[in-house]
Amino acid sequence: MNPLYDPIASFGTGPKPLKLVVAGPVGAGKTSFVRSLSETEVVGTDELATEDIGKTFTTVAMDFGTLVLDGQPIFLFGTPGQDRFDFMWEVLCEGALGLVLLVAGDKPSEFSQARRILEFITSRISVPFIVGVTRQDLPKVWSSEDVAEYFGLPTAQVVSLNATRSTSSIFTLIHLLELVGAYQLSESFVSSDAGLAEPQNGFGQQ
Amino acid sequence: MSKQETLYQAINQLRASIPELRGAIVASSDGLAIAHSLSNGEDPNRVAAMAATALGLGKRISESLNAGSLTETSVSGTNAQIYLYAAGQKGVLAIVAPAGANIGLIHMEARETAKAVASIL
Amino acid sequence: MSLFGNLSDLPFVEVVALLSRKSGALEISLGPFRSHYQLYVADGSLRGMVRDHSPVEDALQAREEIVKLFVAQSGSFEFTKLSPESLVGNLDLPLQRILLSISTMHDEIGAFREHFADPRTQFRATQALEESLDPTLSDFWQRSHKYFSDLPSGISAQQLSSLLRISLEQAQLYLYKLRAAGLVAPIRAVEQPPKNHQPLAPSIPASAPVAVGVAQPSPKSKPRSDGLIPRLLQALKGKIL
Repeated sequence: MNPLYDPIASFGTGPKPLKLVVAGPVGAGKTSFVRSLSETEVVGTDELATEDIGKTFTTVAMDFGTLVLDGQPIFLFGTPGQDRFDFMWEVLCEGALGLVLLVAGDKPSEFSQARRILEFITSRISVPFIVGVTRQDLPKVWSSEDVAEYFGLPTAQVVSLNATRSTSSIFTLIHLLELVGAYQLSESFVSSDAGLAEPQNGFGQQ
Repeated sequence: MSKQETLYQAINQLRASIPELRGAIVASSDGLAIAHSLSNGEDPNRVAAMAATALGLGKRISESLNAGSLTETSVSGTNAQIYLYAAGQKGVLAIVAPAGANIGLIHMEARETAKAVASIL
Repeated sequence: MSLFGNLSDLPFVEVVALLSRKSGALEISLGPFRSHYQLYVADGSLRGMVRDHSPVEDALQAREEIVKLFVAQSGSFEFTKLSPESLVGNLDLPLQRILLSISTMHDEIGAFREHFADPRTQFRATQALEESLDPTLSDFWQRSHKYFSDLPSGISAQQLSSLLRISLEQAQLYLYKLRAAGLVAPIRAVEQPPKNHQPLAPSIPASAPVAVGVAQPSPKSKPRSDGLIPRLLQALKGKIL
């Protein structure tokens, strides 16, 4: 465990962990993103992929990593990518402070799935979010502006990154937290209650 | 006989030996339905994904607590209980039994079936 | 930098929606033994069109070609930006309107199924009633508009299908088309920050190297010094300095 944060010692007294969720299609870089940020060993749930998805292992439950910022523990949850795991998106987004949706900028074939995931989550769960366009190290990729246009989002809500580089992932997190901060300043969003175990609205709607 | 036929044979055999089972499904460990026999019209693809998620999580819990490699995990409700058995590295067998069913018997039969499934996969 | 892909990934109707605020040339190649197109667009209008090296002469012909692209199941595309002044052509057709007025006989549900939103995604209306739709879409829009505009939580394909007694996929198709036309948009359950909220970070120029530069906070969004989020931001920034 992280030497700076002992959840048992701080139970009831220390800060409640905040939860951030990383979603997106298969191969968007969700696991890399969590690994690049976590200060503790990431608990993964990789299983052998039986479909041809361009890699050997795929996440079936979640990736879980932690980091501590100024004494405040942050839990990072990566979701599985395939549509069949949509129940996990809801489970993991419950009570989250923010959401990062990742999509590979060189794979326009995955954009419609990425948009479907994002809209499914954000139309039902009240969570501030940004979209991260990964694999910006490749020569032929979509720009974050064009991806923003496709998602119908303001360009400020879409950033480019390389999820394997931790500085790039940190920039993305900064961007998300700035957005969360803006929501809180607008006082339409109750900040300190957005921790774990406090579900917001949107579940079980038909 | 194809792999799938053999799997169906294994599932049917299990259901025949424990008639009170409400359903059984074999899924790949990454959550794809391979063979199923569900009585109440549940979506096999969804059940398969959930079975893989539960088993995947169970494996990590088991490892983290030094419990060795996972053999099974369960979910109990007021009306039924669901048991998920690891079938080797590649698969999972899930069965749904009504509340109050004879668990000893179910485990005995289902563990055999899980072994058979593992060898087929 | 690039805007590229295949019509099997992004159907023509969505490519057009992406180009509504751009000007340039869209090249589409339907396949080795099939037609090759160049479409010149500016301000959401089709200004000129070339098919297999010969210009398309009038609006009627252009419309016919657009129907072919609309139903194309695959074909690679790539868009090149050009200045609008260089795009004075023989045509001036508002693309979005043409697409919406097209009523095709082919299996649209089959063609667009993979691109449908989740049946549970909630949508809202972004515009008042729109007249120039193809008759079946128009009928759907008339009957469903009140749900999109009156319900604060929006409405999903699943709900519309049972309210209007149409099949789920039919409801998903209509939603897909209305969305591509900009008439409906998915609900964002989180409330938007105030309108005067400045973008928090300048958008990165397309040529900029990886990600660096996303995080320059705009002075307008100066956070409260005592808040939790500012503390977290401070700590995060400390990690990369």
